[in-house]
Amino acid sequence: MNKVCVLSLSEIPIDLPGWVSQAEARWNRTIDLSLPQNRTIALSGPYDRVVVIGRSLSLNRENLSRVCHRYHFDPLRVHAYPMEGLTAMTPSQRLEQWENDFQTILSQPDPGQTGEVVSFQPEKKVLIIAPGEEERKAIADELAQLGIPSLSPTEPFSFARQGIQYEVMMEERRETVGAIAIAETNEKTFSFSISRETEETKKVIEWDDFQPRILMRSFRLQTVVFLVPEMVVPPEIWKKIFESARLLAERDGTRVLILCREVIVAGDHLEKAYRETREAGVLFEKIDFITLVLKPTLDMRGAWVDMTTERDGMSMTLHADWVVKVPGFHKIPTDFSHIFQADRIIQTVSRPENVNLPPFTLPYPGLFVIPGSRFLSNRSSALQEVAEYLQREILVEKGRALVDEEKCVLCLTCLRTCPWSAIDIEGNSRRKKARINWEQCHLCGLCLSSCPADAISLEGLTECYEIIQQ
Amino acid sequence: MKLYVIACDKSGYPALMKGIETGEGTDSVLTVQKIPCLGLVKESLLLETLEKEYDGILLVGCPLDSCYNLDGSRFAERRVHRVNALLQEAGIEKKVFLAFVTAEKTGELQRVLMLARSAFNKEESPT
Amino acid sequence: MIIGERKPVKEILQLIGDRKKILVLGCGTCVTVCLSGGEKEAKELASLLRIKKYQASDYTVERQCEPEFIRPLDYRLKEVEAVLSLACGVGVQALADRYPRTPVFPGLNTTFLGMPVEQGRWEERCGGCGQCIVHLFGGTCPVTRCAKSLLNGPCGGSKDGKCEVKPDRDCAWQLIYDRLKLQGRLDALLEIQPPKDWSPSRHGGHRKMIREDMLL
Ligand code: SF4
Ligand code: SF4
Ligand code: SF4
Ligand code: SF4
Repeated sequence: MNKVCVLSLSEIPIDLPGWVSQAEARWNRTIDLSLPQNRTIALSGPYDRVVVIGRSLSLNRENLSRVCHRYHFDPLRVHAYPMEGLTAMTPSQRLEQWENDFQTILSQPDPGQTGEVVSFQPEKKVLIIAPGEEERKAIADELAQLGIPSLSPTEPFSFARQGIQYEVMMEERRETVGAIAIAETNEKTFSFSISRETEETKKVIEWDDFQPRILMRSFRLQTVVFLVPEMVVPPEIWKKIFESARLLAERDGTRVLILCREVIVAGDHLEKAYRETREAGVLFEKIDFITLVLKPTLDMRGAWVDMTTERDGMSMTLHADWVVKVPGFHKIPTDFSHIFQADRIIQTVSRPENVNLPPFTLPYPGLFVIPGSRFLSNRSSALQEVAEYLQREILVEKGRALVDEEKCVLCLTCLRTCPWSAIDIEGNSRRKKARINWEQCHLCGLCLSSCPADAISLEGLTECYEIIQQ
Repeated sequence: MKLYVIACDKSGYPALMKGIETGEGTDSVLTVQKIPCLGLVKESLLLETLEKEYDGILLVGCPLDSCYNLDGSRFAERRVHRVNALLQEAGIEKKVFLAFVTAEKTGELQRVLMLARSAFNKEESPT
Repeated sequence: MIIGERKPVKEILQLIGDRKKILVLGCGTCVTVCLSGGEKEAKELASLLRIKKYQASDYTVERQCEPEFIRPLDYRLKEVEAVLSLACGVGVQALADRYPRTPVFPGLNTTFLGMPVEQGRWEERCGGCGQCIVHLFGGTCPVTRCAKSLLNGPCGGSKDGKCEVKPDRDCAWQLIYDRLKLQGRLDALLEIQPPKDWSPSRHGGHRKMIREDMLL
């Protein structure tokens, strides 16, 4: 006789113990019940069907995985039943609805294969990737304080994924690490693009080149326009901008215009410097850089600056003798693409701004971004996170995501779209195919829905219920 | 109006269930399918569902920038646009709607349901 | 690979006319990989047609341009009034040759020979001119990638590295210049290219290739 288990995660408005005896007779099954109040009763699987009842919020896949692991259920045979659908009716209606749905669950076809929830604990060792010896050492020291051994080889070395862990290949040995800490570096950026014609006037110059010139020559009665298109410009640079602009205005009577998205005045004496700079006659204008157009003047001795101010939406044009490009900074993880051996090409890895992801992670499990030394306070919380990750048990479901070898045409769509980079190419011969690494797969189904050959299947991940109309 | 609802188990499903529990504007909900992520929905699933007697499909999932699987909602949005364009091109009066909700904020769900209702009522009345 | 784009649904419906039993036939090679005519797209289109009350079914073969792969379709085609092929023009014709009694309609516009420059974006790379000369231009084909197919370019419209005809595309001659400069071979550009011999191209009737040693 087939066995069924009904497990409820919270109190539900049906008298299940009372229902079981007549249900066993009606469906001719053994039904084991596990309710919050009698959790100690031993469950004796394997079960043909498991119904997990609970609030819908707790019925997500990760939670169900946990339940499966705890009670040794086969995840392919677990059905999640939301209790919210039951509350609005009378007790007899509720029972009727529940029995209908129970019938539906029982009548569903057998999955035909078995699944398993496996738990993992990543190797307690961290690979550190940082640009300088000093920084590597600082991170290693801090990890050691947390009781985590680390590895910080100097290049040449490379690493590759091995399930959820990473294999580090150095010249004379190989080691497996559970996590990788990648230092974040600041990369200079200047996102406003200036046309070649304007650049050819030679009056568009970089901030670094412009600074020494201020001391060397006079800009008497000329117009200098500073472009600051980035949001993240360190306070030190703003301080220099204020100083230079003020010097130009006071010494040479230069007309100085600073075009930016935001002026940063949070810093030592910055507010005062900003005020003094404005008092010296320097103009600050917040603009949307999309509206900004630079064109060379006919004599190629300067540029026309065309823009719309954010303040009043007025458009104006002015003639600039000099245009200075002030770069900002973009925080990115140290580039590791050249030492990371993977089938997927990584152009740039940036941290997704997503509230559902833990901070400091990249879209690869086990890769952590450690803020640069300028933000020391954050660094320890990032490393704390690494430590927590290494302690945690990771649950993965085996046997759910599969690629049909016969159908895969190796178009690489899935490889490129998987948000967790869980797919690689299998096989050495010409007859290769895509393979899903079940340790890394989060069972989201993005690959399944993108595959043009319908080659990917996810077993039993959808549930369907009829809701009775009120 | 017969609506088929596909909801992701992170936000859409709890939000929908909350709506059903409190009885707010869900009178037209008929069949609910729970899936792990809206990114799993492919165009053929939508179209094959519309082959049945449903007037429309409603997808409910996480907001674009907080999708648990990073790109899932974005994929769903593009696919919904594509399917709606196909349906429109073919002159079929069925439609797919999309609501981005979180488990707590269900207001958007009601807004989209209302939109769906008015879309179908308009089409039904003159002919 | 061969790139194709789905025809607008309106046009497809017009092609089909009042025939009701339709087989939507996908091709599992080039057009699958460029995401326009594989199993997924065949299923979508068949589904759409069924909503429009056609009796549409779908099927996908490995390659529509090979007789061996389409022969197993014989019995399927007996039951339908028309086939909507989602292969490139080659596949459509291979089908039409094999099944002269059944109307075969193209569901795609076969557009070009190209490659995916990134996921979801394909660009033309070769025009099949019949006599390849890319080596003269640092590995960039001016016949295809220059809007004017200039062999002694660039024209006067190259601006910021972009083409004046299609400003969202790179100017082929900028690419040629940059690459040759990188290789230290700029002097190769001093040589004036004579007019290209177009006789191996399409203009002299349809082309064929024979490998005598492989003939049976
Ligand atoms: S998307 Fe499908 S056909 Fe393409 S490589 Fe992946 S499994 Fe194979
Ligand atoms: S189901 Fe999601 S995580 Fe798993 S391989 Fe597919 S796209 Fe990647
Ligand atoms: S029919 Fe066309 S699309 Fe299909 S395999 Fe042949 S050449 Fe490629
Ligand atoms: S020169 Fe002719 S054959 Fe060579 S890539 Fe260009 S179009 Fe193709």
